[in-house]
Amino acid sequence: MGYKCIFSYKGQLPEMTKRIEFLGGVKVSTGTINCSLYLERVPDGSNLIPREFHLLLYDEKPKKCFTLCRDTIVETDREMVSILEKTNSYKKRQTTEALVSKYELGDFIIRVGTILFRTESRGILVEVEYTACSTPVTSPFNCTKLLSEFINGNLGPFPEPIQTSFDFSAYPTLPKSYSDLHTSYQYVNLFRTIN
Amino acid sequence: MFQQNKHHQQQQQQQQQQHQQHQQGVVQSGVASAAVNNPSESIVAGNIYECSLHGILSTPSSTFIQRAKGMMRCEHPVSYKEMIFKSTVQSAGPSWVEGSILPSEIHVRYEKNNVYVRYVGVPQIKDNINAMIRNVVDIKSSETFFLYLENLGYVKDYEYFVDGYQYSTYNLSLFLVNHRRVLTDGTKGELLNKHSMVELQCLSGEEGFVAAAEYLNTYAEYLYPFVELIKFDHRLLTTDNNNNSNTQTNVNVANGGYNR
Repeated sequence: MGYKCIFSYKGQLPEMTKRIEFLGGVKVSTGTINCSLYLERVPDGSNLIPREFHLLLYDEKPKKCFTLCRDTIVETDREMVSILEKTNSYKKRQTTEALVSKYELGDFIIRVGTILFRTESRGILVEVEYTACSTPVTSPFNCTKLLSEFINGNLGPFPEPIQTSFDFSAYPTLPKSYSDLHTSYQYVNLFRTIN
Repeated sequence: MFQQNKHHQQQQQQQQQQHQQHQQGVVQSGVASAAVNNPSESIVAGNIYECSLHGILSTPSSTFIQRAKGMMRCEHPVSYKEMIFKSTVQSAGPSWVEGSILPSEIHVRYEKNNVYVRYVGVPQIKDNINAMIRNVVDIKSSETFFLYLENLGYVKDYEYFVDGYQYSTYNLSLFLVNHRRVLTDGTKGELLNKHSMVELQCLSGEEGFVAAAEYLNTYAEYLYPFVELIKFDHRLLTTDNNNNSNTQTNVNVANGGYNR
């Protein structure tokens, strides 16, 4: 898996897809990325602050789900959703969904789509993956500069330069190499910002 | 208990696929086994139920094992630590009150650096079916799951070690196990019961309870000279008119002899 940069911007989806196709991107598939917020059930009238966690589902990974609670993220089988529903200690409160199209462009894989929150569009989601990069996230030889040049130089212009480095040091349980867990952190942070 | 050894489960799944035509509608354990055969592959969630009978082995284990080996097709050792986590949030109302929140449990099994998570439902009361029936969901996770559970507000309620053997054939699994305490340093302590616990188990969909129970009891009859496998009925854990606890043998059967 390559390093990914995920961002959103207020624009039009057709414009972005045209830029990608103009660069030679080939559309290969479509899918959805679903992020649900679950809140802890607390007794009525109590002063308890309910805990929360986010649950991420990817169409490309139909057998897995990623749950993030505070600074801990776990990858489990998708039946974790069933366990959480049956234990009845948490309840789904809101869902943010992104309907994305996947494009392949050389060493890059670009996913772009509309972010929907309660059927309301909240911007355009763009995920750019550089598949040739396999160095650890903290390595000085990572591909954040290359991604920045590619995104800001080819997919732009954007109101502000897109930041391609993400600080994962606050999440000590993450593996050293970039993984789906890192991607899930980026998505949750993005959706939190949007909502 | 959990379906375990991958190699054993792969063999079992192959047998199940061949045998399922004959046992149509009895079990869907091939579905559930797939999850443990290859934990990276998910199963259809649906509703999977565990049908089981329990007993205490008070006869010499060597003769019982010989009988089990003769009846079953596969044998492999089991050894894991099981931890039960309970949520800390609950409301004061009874279960039938709308909005009532009861503390929920999640079972976590730690075996050979692998983490398996299980939800076990409350036993369903079906007087016409001679087997314990519980809804179960099994998944595989990673070691960060413990920290995740703590963040969700779950605390460890109790834990114990399980050691023994699993014998299986087609859709059935027979467990012969001992339970041990967990010492403060995390190592194995003394046996919780001098006798081994026997559990005969199969998985079923919602439509196959009757057939699954008949299947279980047919096998239980062959084991009867060595161990009596019965349906544990938790309703027997009652007090009599003098408020004396009615400690049936079933208590030791269900709890494996350990004390909470």
